[in-house]
Amino acid sequence: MIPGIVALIFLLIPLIALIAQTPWESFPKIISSPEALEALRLSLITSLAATGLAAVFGIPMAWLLAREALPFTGLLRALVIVPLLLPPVVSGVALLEALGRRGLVGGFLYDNFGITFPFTTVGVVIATTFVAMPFLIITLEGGFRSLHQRYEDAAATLGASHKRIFFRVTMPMVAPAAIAGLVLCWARALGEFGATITFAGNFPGVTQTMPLAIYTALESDRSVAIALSLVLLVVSVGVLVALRGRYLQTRAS
Amino acid sequence: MKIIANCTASRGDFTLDIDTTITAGTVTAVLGPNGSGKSTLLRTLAGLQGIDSGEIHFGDRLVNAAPSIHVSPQERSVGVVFQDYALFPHLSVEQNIAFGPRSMGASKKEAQTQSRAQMNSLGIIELANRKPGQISGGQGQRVALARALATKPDVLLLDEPLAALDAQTRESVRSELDRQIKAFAGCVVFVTHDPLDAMLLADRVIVLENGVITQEGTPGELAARPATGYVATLMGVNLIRGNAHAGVLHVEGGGVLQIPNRTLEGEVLAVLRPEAITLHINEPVGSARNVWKGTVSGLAPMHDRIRVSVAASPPVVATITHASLADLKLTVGSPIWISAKTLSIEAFTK
Repeated sequence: MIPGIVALIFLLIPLIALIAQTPWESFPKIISSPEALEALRLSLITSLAATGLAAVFGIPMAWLLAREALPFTGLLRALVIVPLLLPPVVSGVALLEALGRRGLVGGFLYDNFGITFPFTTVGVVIATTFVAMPFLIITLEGGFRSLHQRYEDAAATLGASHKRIFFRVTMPMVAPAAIAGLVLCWARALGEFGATITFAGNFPGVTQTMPLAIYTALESDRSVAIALSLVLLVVSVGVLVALRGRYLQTRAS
Repeated sequence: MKIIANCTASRGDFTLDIDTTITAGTVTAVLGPNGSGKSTLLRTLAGLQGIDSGEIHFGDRLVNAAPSIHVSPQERSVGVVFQDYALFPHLSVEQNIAFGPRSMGASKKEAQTQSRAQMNSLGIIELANRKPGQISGGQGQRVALARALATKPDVLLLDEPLAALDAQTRESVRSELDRQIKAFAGCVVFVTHDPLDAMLLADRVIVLENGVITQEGTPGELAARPATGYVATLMGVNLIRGNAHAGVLHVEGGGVLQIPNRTLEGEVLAVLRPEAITLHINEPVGSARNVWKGTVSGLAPMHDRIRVSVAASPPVVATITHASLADLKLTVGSPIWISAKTLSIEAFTK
C-alpha cells in the first residue's frame, strides 16, 4: 500500500508545484503576449492538421490491420507501433534522413521540385503526424477488431457498397474508439517536442509550437514558461475529462 | 427458381463439399451438429465466402463458378437473417429495415415507405423508433426478418433463427416464422442444430456432418429411415448397422438380430424404436425372438418417461415409464435383459 501512495504523491507533486508557482498576476499578460499567442496558434494549427492527416491515412490503416487484409499483419502492426516507442528525437533524426534536403526521399523532392520540409511549418506537421498517428491507429484497430464482421456482412447482403458499409455501418459503430483515438492523437501532437525541434527547428512564428516556446522561455523568463505550461496542463485535463468514459470509470458500465 | 449447388468451399482447415438442389416454394432446413459446416454453407450461398471448385446456380444465373466467377453478396438478391440478428445498433428499427432499399438506390422516402410496409406486415410498426438495444429477442428476430425481406430477395437464408431465444419465446416466434417463410415465394434455407425446428418448419431437411451431406429428405423420411447415427440419435431411435442374410442381421460390433425382411442382403441399417423395446430383470420367455443381455449404462428422465441406455451387443436406448423403473429397481450397472419383436425392427439398405 505504501509504495502505491508514494507513486500517487510522486505523480501529483509536480502538477501541484506547477499550479502553486504560477504567477497569477502576470498570467493574463503573459498568455496574451504576441509570442505566446503565436505559439498557441501554431500549436493548434499543426496539431489539428496532424490529427487530420492521421485520420485520413490512419483510419484506413487501422482497418487494414484489424481485418488482416495485408500480408504480415503482425509485422506491420509492430512497425506502426515503432514511432510510439522510439525516442522522439530519434524520430526527428530519422525524418531528417528520409525527408531532409539530402534525405532518401527529400533529396529527390528538393532536386526535382524544390520542395523542402525541414524548418517549415509543414515540417512541424510531418513530425507531429509521425509521432502521433500510431495512437490513433492502435486505439482504432482495437475498435475495428471488437466489431463483429457480421454487421459488415449484413450490410453487404443488403446491397450496400463498400463505401456505404464503411461510412454507414463500420465508422458509426466504432465511433467511441475513433473519438478516443483522435483525441489521444491530438493531445500527443499538441505536446510534441523532440521530433519537432529536431526535424523542424525552433523558429518563432514558423516552427515554434507551445512546447518549444516553453523550453525557450525557461532559459530567459521562468514565469513565462510556467504560465505557458499551465495552459498545456489545462488542455491535458480537458482531454482527460473528454475521455472520462474510457479512463475514469472504475466499473464497466 | 432453383438453387443448384455443386461445389467445395473451405474455411481454415475445414472443407465443405456439397451437391444439392433447393427449390423455390419449399422450406429447406440444413441440420447438423456444431462444426458440421452449416454456417459455411449459408455464407457460401450468400456470397460472403468464395468457393474452391464447382458451381452454384440461382435459377438461370451462374453466381459462382470456380475460380473466376463470384457474384458479390450485393448483387445476389439474397436476404440473410444472421445468428443474433446483427441489427445495426446505431440505427432505429425503421432505419435498419430501410437500410437495404436505401443501399439499392431507393430515395429516402421510398425506403421509408417500404420499411413501414414491412413493419406492418410483421406487426412491429410500434417498434419503428426504437433502437435494437431496446427490443426483446423475439422482436429482434422479426426486425431481422423484415430487414432481410425489405430488399425483395429471391433467396432467404436464416442462420439459427431461433437459437438466441429462450424456450417460451421460441414457441410463439417459431409459429410466426413458419407463417412468414411459408408465404415467401423464393427459396428458403435455414440452418439449425435443433431437430425440432427442422421438423416443424421445413419441408425438406439436408443433414450436414463434417462438411458433407449425409442425408436429404422430408422430416418423415428422416425419422423413418435415418441414414447415420447422428440422425437416429436426433430422432430418438436406435440405428443398428450390420450385414443381413436370410432374415438375420449380423450386427457390426457384435450381436445378432432377427429382422422381418428376409430378402435383404448385405450392408443394411435397422431402426429400432426405444418404445418398442422391453426390459426384463430375468431372461424372458415369450414371443419376442430377439432377446439379449446387457448392463444399464445410463438413466435420463424425459418429460413423462425415462430413457434407459443399455450397454449390450448391440447397445440400445429404451424408454420406460416411471412405474416400470420403480418395479425394475434399475440403477446404472444393473444387469438387464432386452427383448424386441422381429416386426418392430425396420431394416433397409442405405
